[in-house]
This record gives sequence, structure tokens and C-alpha cells, in this order.
Amino acid sequence: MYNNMLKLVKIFWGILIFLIFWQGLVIFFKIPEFLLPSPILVGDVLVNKYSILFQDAKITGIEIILGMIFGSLLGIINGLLLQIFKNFRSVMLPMLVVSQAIPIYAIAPILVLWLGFDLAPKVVMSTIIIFFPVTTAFYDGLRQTKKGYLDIAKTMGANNITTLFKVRCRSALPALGSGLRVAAAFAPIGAIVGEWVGASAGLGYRMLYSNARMQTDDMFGALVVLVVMSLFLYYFVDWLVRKTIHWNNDDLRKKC
Amino acid sequence: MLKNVSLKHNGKFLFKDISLPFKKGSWVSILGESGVGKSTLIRIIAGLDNFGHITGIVNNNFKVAWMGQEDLLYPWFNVLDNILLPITLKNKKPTTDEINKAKRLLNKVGIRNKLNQYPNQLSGGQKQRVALVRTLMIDADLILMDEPFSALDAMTKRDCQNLFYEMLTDKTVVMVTHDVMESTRLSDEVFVMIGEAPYLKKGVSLKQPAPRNFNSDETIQASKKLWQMLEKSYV
Repeated sequence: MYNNMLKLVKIFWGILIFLIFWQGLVIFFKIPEFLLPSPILVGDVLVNKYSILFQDAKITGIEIILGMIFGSLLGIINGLLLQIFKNFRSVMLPMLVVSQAIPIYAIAPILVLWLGFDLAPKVVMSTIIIFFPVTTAFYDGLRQTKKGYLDIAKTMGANNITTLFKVRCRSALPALGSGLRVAAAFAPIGAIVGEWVGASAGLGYRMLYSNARMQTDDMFGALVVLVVMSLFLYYFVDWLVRKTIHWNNDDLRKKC
Repeated sequence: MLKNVSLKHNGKFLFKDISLPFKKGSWVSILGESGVGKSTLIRIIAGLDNFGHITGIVNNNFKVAWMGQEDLLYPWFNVLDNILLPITLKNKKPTTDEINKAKRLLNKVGIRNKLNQYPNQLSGGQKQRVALVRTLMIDADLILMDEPFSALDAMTKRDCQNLFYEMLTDKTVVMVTHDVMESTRLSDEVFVMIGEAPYLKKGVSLKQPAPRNFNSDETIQASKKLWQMLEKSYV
């Protein structure tokens, strides 16, 4: 508890020093607003354009969360299928690698063309980005189940399905957790890129819109909201993972 | 029992002509240097390995329990759920009787209060006790143990040996070990696994009630003989 408080205080000081440095930079070098708005100006945007930013954040937030949910589910199912079906594995594994060789930015316009300007292409884009780290992490975890655990299951007469769900899946949870953490960090990218390519609302759209009109302070406001949302998502997933695998000694928390 | 069992893999005998009686209520140890194939032998009895070409008679037509070198508790289950694994892994729901039995056994090994804890909250000795209780829940005819004490420190090892012996008194036990003292301390009979194509050679029989003191005449004589057999095979 005390350690957590100390951490928060340190983070607070870090941010404060960063903001003062930023403000000083703007004043000292007389940087024009449209190049780098001062933090005070950005704060002003956050307060006064609160309702617009909130609307945009809601849309982007939904895209990110839906992408996170679909991507994770798809990744988990895919990992399971890879583990269960040998034939599926030999077809799917190379395809997975190929799918990651295509830059998501390159297919974004096509997705917009196919799926329209609404929620769908952004969610699909997030899903595509997320499902790869989740799949590989979970599949690795399933594959690398400690042999002794499997031996115990075998001598106690567990069948293959029971072994998969009660032993392999459980022992793969820490690996899946790492995959989900990466996914949480990547999820906003999909949504934002999707909005850049074609959208009429959302934080990504707001950034592009403000940028084109030299309203750099608005753009920074949207950016701040996005950063806060991304951090919130990451720490929420991190918390959930830690809560679920409290039994795991090698969890990240002990290394951080 | 095993009768003239050989295992051939890639044209090489991993062991040859092994015969081993399972006498009810007796504790048999198999002694041998690391890598000689002791583990493989009891894994085959346990039905865990089936590579290579096996000849001879392996009669494992009865309930077998196997304990590995580590405790192999599932870290995602608490102590009680780990103990109930022999039931739940068969997709059965534990009965009140079975749960009570689990608690009674936990009480007997002195860790009744750890019921709801997870393996990462237990010490090495406590984990080994949980593993023992889990093994006892199987009600096996034959208990196979693969160096069950090798990961423990000296004092914990001694406590655990005493406890295991007490709890397994009326069971048929085959234990694999590389520790001469451990084998003479606990077993009724010790076999030595030696040779180029390893086979089992009868070492010693011990009469005094176990767990024996390491400096009794019987254990000293037995240890001497076992050491001689092992050294001879080494040269």
C-alpha cells in the first residue's frame, strides 16, 4: 500500500516536471501555438471542449473495447484449434506469419472500402492487430505445459479433453496474460488508424480534423485523452490478469 | 510384477531382462547412478512412456500411483483441489466422504490449516506432503516414486521420509533413488540397476523395522554392500 502511494507520488512529480519543462520550452523559445501549444493551452482545450472530446472518446473507446474482445476471443479460439488439430496447425501457422507481414496501414483503406465509414472497419482492424499476439502467446503456453503436469493427469486417468481444459489451458494462463497485455497496448492503434483512413467521429478523426485546420491545441487535447484511455485499458487488463493468475510465481509484477 | 522385461530403442537396450516382484505391503528400492534408466523403468510400469520396443511381461493390471521428482502440484489449484485431482480429473464430483478423507489425511500429515492455500504459498516439505496426500487419495495397489525427496533439504528430507514411511506402511511401494542411505533407511529390499545394458541385480534385504537409523549395524552392512556393487559397475 505504502509502496503504491510512493509510486503514485513519483509519477505525479514526473508528470509535473515534464509539464513545467514543456511550458518553459514554449515560453523561452517563443514557439508558435500551431507548432507546439503550451500545456496550459491544451488544458484549456480539455476543459472547454470537454463535451466534443468526450463524444469522440466514447466512439474510439467502443471501437477499442470491441476490438479487444473480438481479437482476444479469436486469438484464444485460434490457439486452441492450433493445439488440438495438427492439420489445422500446418495450414494456419504459415498463414499467421504471412498475415503479420502485411502492414495493417496498407489494408486499412480496403477495409474502409468494404465495411464503410462506421464502427466495423476500426473494430476489424483492432481485431486483426490483437489476435496475433494473443494467438501466439496462448498457443505457446498450451504447447509448453510442463511435462510433469501432463504425466500426473495421465496417471490419474484424465482423457484428452479434460487434460486440455483442466491442465493445458490453466497452465497456459500466464502466457495468455502476457499476450493480452500486449494486445491492450496495441488495441488503440487499430482504432486510430481506422479513423485516420475514414471516419466522421472519434479521437483519430478529431486529430486529423484539427491538424488540417492548424488547431494543434485541439489535436493535443485529443491525444491526451487517447493516452489516458490507453493507459487505463492497459492497467485494467494488467490488473485482471494478475488477479486471475495470482498463483503464478513468475508473474511480471515481481519483475517490475 | 515385471518378468524379463527389456526395452530396446534405436537398436540399443535401455534395460534388459528385468524382473521385479511387487510384494504386497513391501517397500522396494531401485538404486542406480543418474541416467541409468531407473526413471524410465518406473515410468513404463506407470504407463507413462511407450516408446521403443518392449518385450517381456509388464503386469500393471492394477491401480498405480506415480510420484515424480518434483511435487508436481498444479499451481492454479489450492491444496484441497490438488488433493481431489484423482477424482476431478476423471470428471467426477468429489463426494462428502472423499472430501472428508482428504481433510483427514491432511490432518495426519500436519497441514490441515493449509487447505485453501496455493502451492506458491507452501514450503518444499509442505508441498511434498500435499503430493503424498494426493497420491494416497488414489487408493493404489502400487505406489511408484521417482526420487521423491531429492529436491528437499537434509532436515526436511528426514522428516518427509519418516512421514512417508508411516503413511505408506501397508502399501506396496517401488522407489527409485540414487541415495544409498535413503534406500537402506526405508526399504525392505534394495535392487541395484547396473550394467552396459542395465539390468536389476538383487542388492540387500533388510529386516529391522524402518525407518532405520543410518548407523545401525544392519544399515551399515547393507550400505557397504550396495556401495561395492555400485563401484564395481562403475569401473
